[in-house]
Amino acid sequence: MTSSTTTTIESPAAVSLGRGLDLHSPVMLASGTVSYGEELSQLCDLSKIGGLVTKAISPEPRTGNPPQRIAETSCGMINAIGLANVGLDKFVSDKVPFLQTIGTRVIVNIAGKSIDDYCQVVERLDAVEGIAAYELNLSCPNVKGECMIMGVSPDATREIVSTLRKLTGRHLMVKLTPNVTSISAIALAAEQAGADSVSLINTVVGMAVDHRTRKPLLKNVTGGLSGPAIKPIALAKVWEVSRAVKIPVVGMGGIASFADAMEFLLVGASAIQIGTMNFVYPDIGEKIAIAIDEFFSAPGAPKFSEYVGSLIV
Amino acid sequence: MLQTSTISDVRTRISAIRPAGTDVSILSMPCPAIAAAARPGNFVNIKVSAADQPLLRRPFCIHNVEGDTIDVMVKNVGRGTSLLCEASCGESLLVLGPLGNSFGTGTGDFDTALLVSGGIGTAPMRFLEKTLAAAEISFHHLVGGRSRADLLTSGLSNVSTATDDGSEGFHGNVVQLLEKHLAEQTAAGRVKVFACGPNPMLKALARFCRDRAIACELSLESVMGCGVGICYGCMVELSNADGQKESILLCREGPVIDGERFTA
Repeated sequence: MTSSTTTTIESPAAVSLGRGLDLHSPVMLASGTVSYGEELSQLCDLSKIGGLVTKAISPEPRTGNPPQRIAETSCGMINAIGLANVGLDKFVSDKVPFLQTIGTRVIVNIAGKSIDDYCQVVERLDAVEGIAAYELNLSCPNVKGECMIMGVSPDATREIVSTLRKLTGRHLMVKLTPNVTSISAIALAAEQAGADSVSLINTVVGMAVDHRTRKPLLKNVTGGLSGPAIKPIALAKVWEVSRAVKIPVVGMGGIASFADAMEFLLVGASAIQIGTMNFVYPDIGEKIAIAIDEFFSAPGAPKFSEYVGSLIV
Repeated sequence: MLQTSTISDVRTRISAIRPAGTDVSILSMPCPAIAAAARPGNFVNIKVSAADQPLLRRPFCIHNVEGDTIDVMVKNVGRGTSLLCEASCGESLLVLGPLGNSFGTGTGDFDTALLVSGGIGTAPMRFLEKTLAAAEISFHHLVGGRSRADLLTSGLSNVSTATDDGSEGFHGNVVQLLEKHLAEQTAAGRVKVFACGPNPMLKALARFCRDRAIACELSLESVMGCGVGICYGCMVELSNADGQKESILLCREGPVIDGERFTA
């Protein structure tokens, strides 16, 4: 709501994820759940949160998958939006000017069909001010034969991350899919190739069926499951990855409360992202950010950096 | 079609609930900020319970506005709507709105509004009627259903009905009923159609209006997630008379669209 630049007031929950990605709150809003910030800014004070991750940007505009694109499932939802986005040109001309005013770090999520696509987006955006980091979407489950292919292979992950590492001085966050045999193997490959952080988990491949019509609810047949239903999976993956890599881990998957966010910090996440619950409570990011700040500001509270990964096992 | 600007998320309690037809209830909720900003055609997105299930909010068009209170008309079609239909007075809800655009009633290019609806599609027509009446614009409802039990005409005035089985009113569908009334209505002045109902009805109606060059606005329905344009779940594919296809997010660019954009 404010038009000031990111506040530098010393918050006890401020966190640096490296290479200039300094967050005044560990709470970010996840890609694909905030569009480009405009709609949410009317309902949530974005300056209170640490960062906003944009909808995935591809070189060309995409209309995404045909409807029906979402369906509710037990304590969650599945989606197959298909990376609908305005494309690189329109993002720079129409969306970035607003993002530069929201008083929080802007992380641009990038999706593409090939390494060239990712390079094209990074090269163009590197010349644009007001972007703190790139989150590489190598793990969308809803676009056949595209980025998901890279995110499930350590070699392909290494190749794309090392290519982009040479291109940009900005923070590179690699978003990981849980739909693999070993998520830590992918995380290690990203780290070795020069990633500054990893974010996880992306959605879990899922399906919803109507037995009366004998049809899947989604036109795409399968989709990505998100929401509180996947939180236990996400906690286990963040726990695993945070012990495998040295770079910061950004945890997400069904975070719906202050307590949920704290659980992710305990299992090793240095920051968290809120996704699906933005659809339900548009101001949830602001509320959780304030609650975390209050927790670590209280007399006798642990230091944020000591709290991260302090799970007692 | 007008765009809404002021959106509020209001914690409120159900102040009244009354049956309106088979499996249909009307819920009243005090929501001063939403009531003040609402226009006919707008909708609200309601978090039915504080639990994680059902998780997502449920969208309902605004049925009526009475002072600080808004009404929604709910048909029991699933988990979220059954909780609402079975709710009691005093139960707490979170209501986000007003959302979406609204019917274009103030365009001054028509003398009579024809409010054509089918089934639960009658829900937005009471608020629309009220707005037209306040502006002293004449209106006539054409309400359709499969049979008498599906007609949701309570609270409406100047109504003609049609049923597929002939159990009440005209024996046929609302488009045929419109055809029957059209000559009389057009003789009295310029008409504009405002419609809401199932997609097959709206497609037939849009074609009917296009063929006769009658202005026509349709309120569409879709599965919806957020209601504010961030989840991209409510994409609807439109196609105009020239065959050009376009896709819109219904929560943001609808729910009201020009009938010209809705061809089969």
